[in-house]
Amino acid sequence: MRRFIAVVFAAALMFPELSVRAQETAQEAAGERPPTDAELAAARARFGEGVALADAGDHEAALAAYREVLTVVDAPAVHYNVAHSLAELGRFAQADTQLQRLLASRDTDPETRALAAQQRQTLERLGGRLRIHVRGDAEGAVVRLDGWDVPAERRVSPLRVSAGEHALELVVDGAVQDRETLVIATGDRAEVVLRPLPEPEDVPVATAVATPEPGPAEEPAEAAPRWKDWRVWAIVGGVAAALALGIGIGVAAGGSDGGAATAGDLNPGVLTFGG
Amino acid sequence: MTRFWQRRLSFGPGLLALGLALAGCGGEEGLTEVVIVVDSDLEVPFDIDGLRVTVSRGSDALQATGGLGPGQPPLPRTVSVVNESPTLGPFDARVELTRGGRLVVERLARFTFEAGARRRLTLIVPGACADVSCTEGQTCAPLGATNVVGCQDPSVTLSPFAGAGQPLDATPLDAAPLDAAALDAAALDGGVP
Repeated sequence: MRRFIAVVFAAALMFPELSVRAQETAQEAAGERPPTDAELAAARARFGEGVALADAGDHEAALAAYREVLTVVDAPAVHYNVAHSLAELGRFAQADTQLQRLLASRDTDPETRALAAQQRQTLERLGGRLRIHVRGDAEGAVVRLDGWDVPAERRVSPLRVSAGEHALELVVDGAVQDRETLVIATGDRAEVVLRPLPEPEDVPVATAVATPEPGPAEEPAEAAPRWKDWRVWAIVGGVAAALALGIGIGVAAGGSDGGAATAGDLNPGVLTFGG
Repeated sequence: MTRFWQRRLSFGPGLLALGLALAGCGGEEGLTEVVIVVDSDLEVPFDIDGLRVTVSRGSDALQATGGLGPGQPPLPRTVSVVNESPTLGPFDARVELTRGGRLVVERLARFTFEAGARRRLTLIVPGACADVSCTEGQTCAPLGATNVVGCQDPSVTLSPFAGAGQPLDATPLDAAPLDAAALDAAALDGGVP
């Protein structure tokens, strides 16, 4: 580990002029004040402390140190060390997100890029993958993995996660609406579906049972049987009608052309030779 | 109309589709089709943001494309190839995964239609193939049921069609035996110079 950290630390020491210049340009463009020499010196010292903490195995403290440094210097080497500490702490999904951003950034130097690619392979080898689906009307929903808010763009493809137990939450307007716990083994490919709670108006009246007032002479009130609700029968009727209609149309279509091609989801979805 | 009813009425199209699918089981005869299913272990949209499938025989070539990322269907993606010509094959399928319009990795497959049958061709395009150069007439692909890739003949055997939504878990990549070592510092440092 010492060797690895030293490589990154050395890289950080080698690129200060370049990275700080880029940092200043970015900050000026954003209307922010560039860091002073004193702030830069403090950031470099703090980075060194982070490296020492990581070397001693205190990755939580190292992470805090690196994040302090990032408030002053937004350098690839710091992001890489953040990813390294996150990985050591078992937070593979967060680590992988950092590594992906490093690999996607044009500011990342070749050496850090190579280290990031290697680190991703290590995560792949040691962990599993988790694909998260959010069903229903979940506008503004936040998916939380082990307490970390998964960025929306990371929900598109599977997340790399460490082997072990993971907690998933679907949070809408600050309230947890669904919760799943799952255990991932090395090499697993898991999928989980989170669903928001139905809105109050979605709950059929028949299922909302009023609590009876306690009284010595009263029989306990019972919920109305679901089969007595006309809406249940309306749904059953609708289901039967739709199914019958579908089968009817399908039989008619099938009998006329010998079966339709499977609709793909590319453009076009069907390629026809000799048509 | 309340959302309660909106949601329940939304079952209608689904049931209609189910009925069509059930009825379609008896109407499959006569269609000569290969459903190409494309999947990859590369990350969307960081590693790849588009794909292109080109199917050709001689000078006849047809192409389908798609974007990958927010607002687009996730992998695996599918395209159906219907053959109404008298020639069953061989046909070549080239899958190209791209990022920003630039090719990231590709895979070739050579297949032959089966008259009157619907078949499935699953093409996993491993990210590891991006670093592999194969000679003419070969393609990079997973080697058997492992996560090792290598160059091989592009000829493939088609599978029975069991729906386009077959999970990725059934692919050779996912069946690969992986290192079960516990996470420790030495393991994490192992690949770092």
